[in-house]
Amino acid sequence: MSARTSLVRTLSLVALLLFVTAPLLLLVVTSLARGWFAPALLPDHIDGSAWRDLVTDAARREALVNSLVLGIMTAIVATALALPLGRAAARSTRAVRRSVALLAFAAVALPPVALGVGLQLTVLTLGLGGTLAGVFLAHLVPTLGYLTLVFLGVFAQWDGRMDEAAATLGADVRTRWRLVLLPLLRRPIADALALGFLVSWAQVALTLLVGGGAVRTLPLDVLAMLQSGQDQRAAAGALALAMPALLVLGLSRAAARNTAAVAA
Amino acid sequence: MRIPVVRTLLSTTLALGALIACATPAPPANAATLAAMPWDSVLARARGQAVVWRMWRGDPSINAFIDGWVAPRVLERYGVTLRAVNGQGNELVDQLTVEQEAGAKDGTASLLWINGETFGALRQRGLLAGPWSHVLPSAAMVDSASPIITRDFEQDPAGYESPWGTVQQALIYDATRTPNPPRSLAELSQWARAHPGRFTYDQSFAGMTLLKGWFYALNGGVATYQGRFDSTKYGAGRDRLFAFLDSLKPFLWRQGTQYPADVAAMHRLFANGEIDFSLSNNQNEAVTKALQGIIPATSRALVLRDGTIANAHYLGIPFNAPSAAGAMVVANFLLSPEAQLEKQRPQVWADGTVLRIATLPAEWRARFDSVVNDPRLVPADTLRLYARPEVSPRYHERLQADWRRMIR
Repeated sequence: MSARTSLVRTLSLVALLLFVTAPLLLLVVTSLARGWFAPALLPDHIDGSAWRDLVTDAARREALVNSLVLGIMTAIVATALALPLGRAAARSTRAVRRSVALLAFAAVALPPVALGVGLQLTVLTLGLGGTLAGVFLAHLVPTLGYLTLVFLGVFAQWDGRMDEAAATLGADVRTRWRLVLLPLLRRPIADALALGFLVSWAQVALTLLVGGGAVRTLPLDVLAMLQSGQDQRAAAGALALAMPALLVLGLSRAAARNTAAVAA
Repeated sequence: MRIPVVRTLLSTTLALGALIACATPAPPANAATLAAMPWDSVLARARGQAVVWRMWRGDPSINAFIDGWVAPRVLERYGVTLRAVNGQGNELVDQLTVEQEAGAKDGTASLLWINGETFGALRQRGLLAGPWSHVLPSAAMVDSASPIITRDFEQDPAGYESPWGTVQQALIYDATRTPNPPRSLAELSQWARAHPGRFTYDQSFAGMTLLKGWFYALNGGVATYQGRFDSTKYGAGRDRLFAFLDSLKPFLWRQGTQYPADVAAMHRLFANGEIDFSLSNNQNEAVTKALQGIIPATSRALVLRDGTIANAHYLGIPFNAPSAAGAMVVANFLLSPEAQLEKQRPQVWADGTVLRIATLPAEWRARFDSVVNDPRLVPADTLRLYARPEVSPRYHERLQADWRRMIR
């Protein structure tokens, strides 16, 4: 590699790094600055009230807790449903595989607003309009779509020989799941849980339509703050929103280092 | 292969829904039924009810007033659990329309913050319960002489909504940056020409309300447009206004090729010195937003002598409110002098009262006067002098549509 290419490469890396970190850094400053007006280089004063509010203000805390509960529940339930579904579909006929993939893709690809209107009617018919349970059901739809596609992919290239060997040695289904399949699936399950959490964590349109405003979540809170010019609070909320994504990214990078064959 | 599955799922869902629907008890008393009862029975029925109130939740000071001041008091005094949730304008209409179509006997919300267009749309579709607001004991204290309160964008509230606050539009300027601000539309137009790029208005509700005020001013006052929407009068008035806007355009921020999205964007540009005027539909926002550190501490409000639009906001009760009695009790409490005064304090919300202060007991009169005469606020008699009522919501809709088509 010539010196010139390495210089170009370094410069590109620096540019990319700035591109990613500068907005985040600006958010950090905005979240702490009170009365920061151009052309002043420094804010009037620094205060952490926007961050404190996330936990101490009842309405904001409720939004944060709702988001966490929804994210965790959606991740667990969707993974538990998508794994057997993806596996059964992958091992079935081509027609079934294709229709499952198509359905899963529809749940992912449909604009959330269109999906939301349909779901809103269903949820209202069930008497769950404006409840956390209703919003959870709504979040489950796109999440299940994503995760079904994930597990379809995992099981489409699955090497069944370990499982077969265990069966030949007389292990029953439960033992095979416990000792062979689940250990092999540890990584895809971890990925699915993370992805499932993030899909629910970032949902706006579905929450708004099905929750009817009664179910507050962190992204809705951030939007409300932005619309009313509460930039300091919005910035703190936006950073709180970004944290799980960054965390998941960091964890999966770390996990990738411990796995022989991953393309990370 | 797939179709039977879908069909089974669908029928199961519907069957479940039907079961749940059958299991629910008879619908609760509607606000119109409650209005026929003595107030004491409304109070008795309200005790133990939970009221979900859909409102705009974007302002932390309003949220703090509702969650931290109103909610504990209605719980302690009337046993009503108040929970404010987000929802405004068309969202309310859409939500209730879907509930109506789904045949949901019990809605989610029992109380709505509404006015103008939203009230009109809800009334038209039969989504509001009523009449009920005339039976509130506190309703007797409402300033019934004020056209700003008794007519909601030319519509008769007809007992289907109860007023709870008033606001009047004002421009916001920085007293250190602009010590001698323009005081009339003519002066403002000269000022903009002398300071190119330093003035603009936003393209949402507040900006259009500003233009509507100019629309009256350039066409001989509001009286021409009162009553029903008249498209001929509207067309002539619009052409005059748009000619004025076209001549002003090159001197606006970014030569009038772009307009800020909303008031929040206006405040950002104003705070960072890109423009010299922000605006707000609440004349007191100059003070509250400065207290919150969103705009400079030296910000002041100004009301143009040509008149600015004032309007009231109201509370409605949906047709399927699960806790209509509780909602009526909350609406009544919000009309009490105590709640109206707290709401009007600059460090709380600075939202104008709907009560007729002159008829209140002397102790309340004195307290209101001390708040209204806060030196940072526009004096109350100045506001009254230049307040102009809203006209039919059709004018607002048409102006917004035509502005997007012809000016933007």
